This record gives sequence, structure tokens and C-alpha cells, in this order.
Amino acid sequence: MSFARTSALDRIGTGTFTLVILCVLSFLYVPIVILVVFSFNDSSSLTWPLGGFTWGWYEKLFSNRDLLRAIGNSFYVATFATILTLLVGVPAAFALDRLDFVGKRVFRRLVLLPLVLPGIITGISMLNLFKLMGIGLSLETVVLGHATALISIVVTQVYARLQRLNRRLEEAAADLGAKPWETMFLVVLPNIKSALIGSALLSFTLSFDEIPVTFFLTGRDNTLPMYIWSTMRRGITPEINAVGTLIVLASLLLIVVSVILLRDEQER
Amino acid sequence: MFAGQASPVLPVGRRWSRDRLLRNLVLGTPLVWAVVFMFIPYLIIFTYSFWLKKYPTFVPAFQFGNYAQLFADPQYYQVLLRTAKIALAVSLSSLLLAYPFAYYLVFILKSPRLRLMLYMAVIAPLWVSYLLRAYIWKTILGNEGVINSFLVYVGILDRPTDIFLYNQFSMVLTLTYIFIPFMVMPIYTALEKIPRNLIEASKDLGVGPLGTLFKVIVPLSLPGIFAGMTFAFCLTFGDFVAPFLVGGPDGVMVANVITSQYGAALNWPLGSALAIVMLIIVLGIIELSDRVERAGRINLA
Amino acid sequence: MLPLREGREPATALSNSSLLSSYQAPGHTDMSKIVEIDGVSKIYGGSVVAVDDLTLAIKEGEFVTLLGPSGCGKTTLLRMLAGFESPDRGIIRLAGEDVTSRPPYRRDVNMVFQDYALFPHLSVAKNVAFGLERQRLDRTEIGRRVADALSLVGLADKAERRPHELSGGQRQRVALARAIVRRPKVLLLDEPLSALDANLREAMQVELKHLHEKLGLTFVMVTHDQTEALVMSDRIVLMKDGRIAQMGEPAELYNRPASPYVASFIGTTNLLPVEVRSVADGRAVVALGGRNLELPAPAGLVAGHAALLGIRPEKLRLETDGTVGACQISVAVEEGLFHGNAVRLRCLGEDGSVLLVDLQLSQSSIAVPARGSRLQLSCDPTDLYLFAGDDR
Repeated sequence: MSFARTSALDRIGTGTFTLVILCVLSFLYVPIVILVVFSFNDSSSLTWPLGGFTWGWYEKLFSNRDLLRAIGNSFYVATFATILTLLVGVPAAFALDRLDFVGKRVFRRLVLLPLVLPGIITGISMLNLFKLMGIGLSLETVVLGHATALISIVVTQVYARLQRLNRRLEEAAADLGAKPWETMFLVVLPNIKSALIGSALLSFTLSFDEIPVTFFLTGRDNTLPMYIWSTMRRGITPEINAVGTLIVLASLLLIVVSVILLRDEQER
Repeated sequence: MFAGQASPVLPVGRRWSRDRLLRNLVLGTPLVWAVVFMFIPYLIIFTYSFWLKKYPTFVPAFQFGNYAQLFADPQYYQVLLRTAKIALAVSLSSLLLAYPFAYYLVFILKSPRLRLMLYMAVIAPLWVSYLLRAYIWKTILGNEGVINSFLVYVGILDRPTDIFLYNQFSMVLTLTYIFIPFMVMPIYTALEKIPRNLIEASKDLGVGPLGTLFKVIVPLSLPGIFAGMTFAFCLTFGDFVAPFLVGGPDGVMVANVITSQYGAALNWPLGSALAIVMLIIVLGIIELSDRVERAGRINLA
Repeated sequence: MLPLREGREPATALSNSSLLSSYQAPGHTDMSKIVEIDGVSKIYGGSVVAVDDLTLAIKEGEFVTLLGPSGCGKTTLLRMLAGFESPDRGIIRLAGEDVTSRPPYRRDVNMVFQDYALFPHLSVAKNVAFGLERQRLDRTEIGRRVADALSLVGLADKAERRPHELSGGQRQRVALARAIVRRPKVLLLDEPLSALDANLREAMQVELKHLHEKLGLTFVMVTHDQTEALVMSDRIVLMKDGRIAQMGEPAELYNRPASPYVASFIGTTNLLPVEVRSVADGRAVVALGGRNLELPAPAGLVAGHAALLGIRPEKLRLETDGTVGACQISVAVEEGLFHGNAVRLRCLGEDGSVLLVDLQLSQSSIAVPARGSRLQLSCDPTDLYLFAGDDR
């Protein structure tokens, strides 16, 4: 009897769970489906019922010069911000992992702070700095802002990987005659490749998508999210859905790429 | 004159200086960056927060008027309270959705492939534009949005209603949607770390499934819960996008106020004071959750 | 050459390789000092003395083992030879050159790491080639020497594999090939066999010893396993608390231990407390089993004080024919452990001290003594050694 009861309970439990999972998944994905569907909808409002199918919004999008320039700007910002985060974040991760120095605790806190620090604070604090130094706002100040906000991403991922890296590998390299820079480029960096690629991709995506820091630090040039932001504050149009659909596609592509690039590492 | 003396030690000396150069580069670059772009800017905000507003600009001073204003003027402290309330609501609702999901993945799902796929499915939206995710809800909940037009189309409503958008509900919904992945990740990790034999042991000792859940699994996954709550709370507390897109007058948050003080109101000292308060609250939450987590870890050991 | 099966047929693996001839150093018979460690100390954190004023010279072509329990400083000493640690005091010379402050990449020594430390992102061949590429040798030379080294360790067919695709024993061989391919002046081995299972370890002990003989290289190995040290080394340096407790050929350490520490670390030794009756002219008289024994006296022995008398379990014999030997001990059997070819008896002496006795069963017609039975043991006085103090 008690068997029957538990199995019935189990079944109810499993059923409830499946329902919860389906709810969460549809909560996450139905809105994205709606976004995509309305980008092909032949109506200028996002209302039910659906009209006919059209490529019109995409055509409009590709003839929108402001939008295309914003996309270009976003690529520019994200690329250089990513390069900077790597140039600063990788040494920072090494310093945290390898070196002992005065104020290391403060340094760690400071560098990792933007992980949870609202972007608006990074934005206004750097705005203050640039104003004080008399530096005009431009895409370059945005690059600096993004890099500052995203270094923490690189540091956490690279640091975690360095902690797992076998220090004997570096000793072995030195033992076999590799000078420190050879050890770095021939042994250490290849072995933390996955963390470097992973954090670079993440930095790029987050920079491409960034609003609060950009909001305070950009001059006259718009990045893609800033452009969408200003458009959607004026009102919503299916053209944004079309851009959004393309962004979703690009994100999917990026996920696939990173899974493929990082698979090599997981096989080990 | 000293050449003969110096040459035998030259290789050693050169190696040392090169090592030191490498070390300085590794440490110096991020250190200089952190000081110039983080420490000094925070210091500037901190300084500004004591300055005095004198229209149309502001002058150096040392006074607590800005802080006093924040805690005396209901316009400001109510925004702080509301932001905290929304942040708490977002953390709790994402916890309620994320915990069963992570639990299902770790303990009920048998196939590791399916587990990985579902995990990826929850994490994937993180890669999709944050702005877009907030925008979608604007199009769904709006007066001319998908839900309204559907309800009118079906005949449940005569005309569109405003109750869905521009209020605290739409804020919590949108932000929960955005931050769920941040909640699932740490909880999943924490649940995965729980040794299966502990659960077997609990069942062996005659503890029922609910007892096992609340006496064994939940306490052991507390570090994950705290990490997720911290993320959701802090990210919501400083959120910039959602209040502008889906929050109406009822959904004004700290970020809106800071922005307007830095923009239209041109009161940088007050904006800075608010930013400092926000910084302190966020740091306090992190410190608190750090301590709780550390205490939890000691208990486990 | 046939691919070598894990750890078996060591002779095939090490046969006619062209590398061998090049390794036959001209100075193989010249016993010049290749490593000189002169008064070296290493102190960690200002107070923990890992190596304490240690002086040691290693001859060219020697197989020296640094033996001792964990924390005795053997690994630190090896790492100072490699250049991973620098001594706080003292000088290290390699082939007459002072290398004390030279970084590892400028020392002509190579190391086999305990966990092998193979580069996971490189193939086996690339791992072995790594050191040669750092020497900027030309490609054909590198290719030839890598192929030679791999066939020497029997892994010629695994050249393109990644380390994670190999078994533990195979990785060990790659680590070995990678270290010897540079023809270092000294090959350092840090617990090279500890990660292998028991069978493989035994086979590799023999194989490594053969490799040493064929290459004529100087080997310095660190181990905590005394059997390994006894089997493989030309000379054992037994360490304790950062100092040398005793060094010498394996048989010397086994047969003439300098102290109770050495006697009990290498093999098993019964150490019996005895009273010193008198000391004179380098001879001492001690009381054992109610009889006086005259033995060579170690330095520091004082009449009237207690001393320790050491005897190996296998040197004790059963007194079967009633004849009275030079020294006798009567004991009661407490427990007998059957080892197949031998039996180890745990006995209690009349004064309550525990005595282990190994009896070879193949040569002895007697049965395993029953528990509680009383035995009369005898031994040769030359198998006894007397220690003035206890340093265990």
C-alpha cells in the first residue's frame, strides 16, 4: 500500500516538475518567438491578429544608414574593448594568481567590483574623470568605459583557469630550456586558451550590448543598442523586431562557435 | 675601469632586470588601469557627493547636505525603498522559478545530454541582447501590445487595458526574465556538488522526500542560493534599462534619479551622493552574502 | 622494433638504438665530480629548515638516490639542482661551473616529474621535441633525435598521440624520453615511479636501471621507497631533517647502518635496549639475555648507560640442536605471519621487548612455530650492531 502511495506521489511530483520546467522554458522562449514572428508581420503595429508575411522590415532596416552606422560603431567599440580587456585582464589574473604584493586584497576587490556593480556607477564615475581631464566624449571613451566594466569577466575566467593549471608544466618548460616568455607563449597561453576565447567572446557580446556606460560616455556617435534605445523610446516599430531577430541569430551563432571552440578542452 | 668587475655578474643582473620588467608589466598594467579608471573616478564621485549645488553649476565644499536631502526628502528615500523592494521581489521570484528548475536538472533528469541541453537553454538568453529582452516585454505588455490585442481579439476585453505595463509588476516580470540565468547557474553548481550518498543516507534514515529536501538539500545549496540572490538583487538594484522601458512613474528606480540629476536637473553632487549610497548598499550586500557563504562552508566542513 | 607492451621485456625496449652510442660519454670511466653541493641550506618562511648545510658530491655516470621520509628535504634538494629553488646558503656546481643562481632554462640538467608534467596541448613527439627546439637545432636533427628517443623508450608508434590518450606507464616513458633527448649532464628523477601500480613499478625499476647503464648518464633520483632505492641505486643518500643521515652503496647502508634511524628506515631492524657494561679499546661489552657480548663500540658509547642493539630479522636463527651460540635470546612466539617462502614471527623477549624473526621455509624442515611456543634464537655477533644513541 505504501508502495502505491509513494509511486503515486512520485508521479504527481514528477508531473509538477515537468510542468514547472515547461513554464520556465516557455517564459524564457515564447517572448523571443514573439519577437521573431512579428519581425515578419505585415503590419506596422505589434498587435494580434497577425497580418501577412513580409521581408519589408528587413529591407527597411538594410537601407537605414543610421542603423548601419550604429552597427559599425558597435563592432568598433566591442572589438577594441575586448582587446583592451584581454590586455589588462590577463595580466591582472596572472598577478592575482602568481604574485604577492601589498594591497592585493584591495586590488582584487577593485578589479572584480564591476561584476556586480551597476553599470551606471562605472558610467558616471568615468564621465566625471573625463570631464575633469577635459577629454571629449567619443567612441574611444566608450571603449575605455566598456573595458573597465568588462575586465572583471576576463579576470574571473582566466584566474579560475590558472588556478587549475598545473604549475609543473611551467617548471617542465623552464627545465627544457624555455625562457620565461617562451614558457608563457608556448605552454601557459595555449593551455588557458579556452578561458581566453570564452572570456573574449563574452566581453565582445556584453560590450556589443552595453547601454548604461555607453549612455554616459558616448559623444555624438551611437552604438547599436543606443540607437535601438533612442528609437524605442520614441515608439516601438517592427523594424526593431527585425534588428532583434538578427541579433538573436548572431547570438545563436556565437554560442555555437564558442561551444565548438571550447569542445576541444572538455574532451581532456 | 669597473668593466672587468662587472662582466661576470652581468648575466645574472640582466636576467633579474628582465624578470623585474616582466613582473612590473604584469602587475603594473592592471594596477595603473584600476587606479586611473576605477579608484580615482570613484574618489571623484565621493568628493562630489560633498559638494554644493549652485545653479547653474556646483562648487567644492564639505557638507552632508546632499546625503541629508536623500534621507529627508521622501522623493528620494522612497525611491531607494522602492528599488530595494523591487530588487527583493525579483530575487525571490527568480529563486522560485530557478530552484525547481535546477533541482529537476540535477536530481530528476537521468540523461546527462538532456541535462546539458536544458542548462544551456536557460543560460543561452544571457547571450541575447539585454536591451532586446527588456524591449520584448514592452511589446508584449503594452497598451497596443500582444496580450492586449489578443485579449480584445478573443473578446475577453472590450478595449486595451494599461494594467500590464508601466508599473512595478511589469518591472518585476521583466527583470525576473532577464536575471533568471544568474540564479540558475550558482544553484545548479551548488546542487551538483551535493554528494548523492548524503541523499541516499537521508532516505535510508527514513526521512521523507520533503524532509530530505528541506533538511539536507536546501541547506547544502544555500551558498548557491545566496550567490544567485546577490546577483539578482545587485543587478536589479542598479538596473538602468528596465525602469526606462517598462517602468512608469510607479516604477522609478535609483538609476532614473541618478540619470536625471546628472542630466536635466544638473545636480551632480546629489547624483553623486545617490551613487555612493547605491555603491555602499551593493557592497554591503556582497559582503553580507560573502560572510554567510563562508560561514556555511565552515559548517559543511 | 616491436611496440613494447607496458613494462614488459625491458631489454627489447632498450636495445640497439643509435642514441646509445652517442650517450657513451668518453669520460664514463673517469669518476670526476659532475655535481658538487657545497654547504647548501634552504630555509622556508624564515624558520622551516628544509635543507641544512648539506654537502654532497656526485660522480659522473653515478645513479644516486636521495632517500628519506616526506619532509626530509630530498625534493627541495632536487629542485635546487634543477634551479626551481635557489639555496639560501651554499654553492651548487655542475661540471665544475657555479650554477647556484642560474635559472632552470640555463642549466644542463633535465627532470622527470612525479606527475610527468607532459604538455597536454602537444603531441608526444612535440613534447619530446620541445627541449631540442629551444636549443634551436635544425629540423632534421630534431626529428632524428626525437625518433631515437621515442624508440629507446618503445613508443615510436605513439609519436602523434596526445598525452591524455596514453596509459600511465606510457606517459612515464614520454617524460623520460623528453628529459634524456637533450643529453643533459644530469638526469633528475622526482619520484618517477610513484604514480604507477605495483607490478608496473617493479618492471620500470629494472628498466630504468638498464637505461642508466646503457646511457651512462648521471641519474639523481628522489624517492621515499627504500626498496626502490636499494634495487636501483649505485649510491643511496639517506636524509633526515635536511641533513645526510648516511650515504653509501645500498649494501653498505643495509649491512652497516650508522644509526637506528638508518637501520629502521632501510629494511626492518630489531632494536633492543641493552646496558653497556664497559667500553675499552674500541670494544664494548653489553649484556644481552643474561650473557655478556663483546662488540665493536661506536663513538659516544659510555659504560653504564643504555644503548641500542640492532639485528635484522633474517639474521636470527632457530637454535635446534641445542648447541649454544655466541649470543642467544629466548623468546615466546606471539604471532606468525605466513609470507609464502618465509614466515615472520613476532616474538616477545624475556624483558618484554618485541622481536621480529624471519624464517626461510624452503631451507628449514621445521614447521611454523605455534603461538605461545618458546624458542631459543641465536645469531652471529658480526650481524649485530651497537648504537650509542637513538635518532629515530
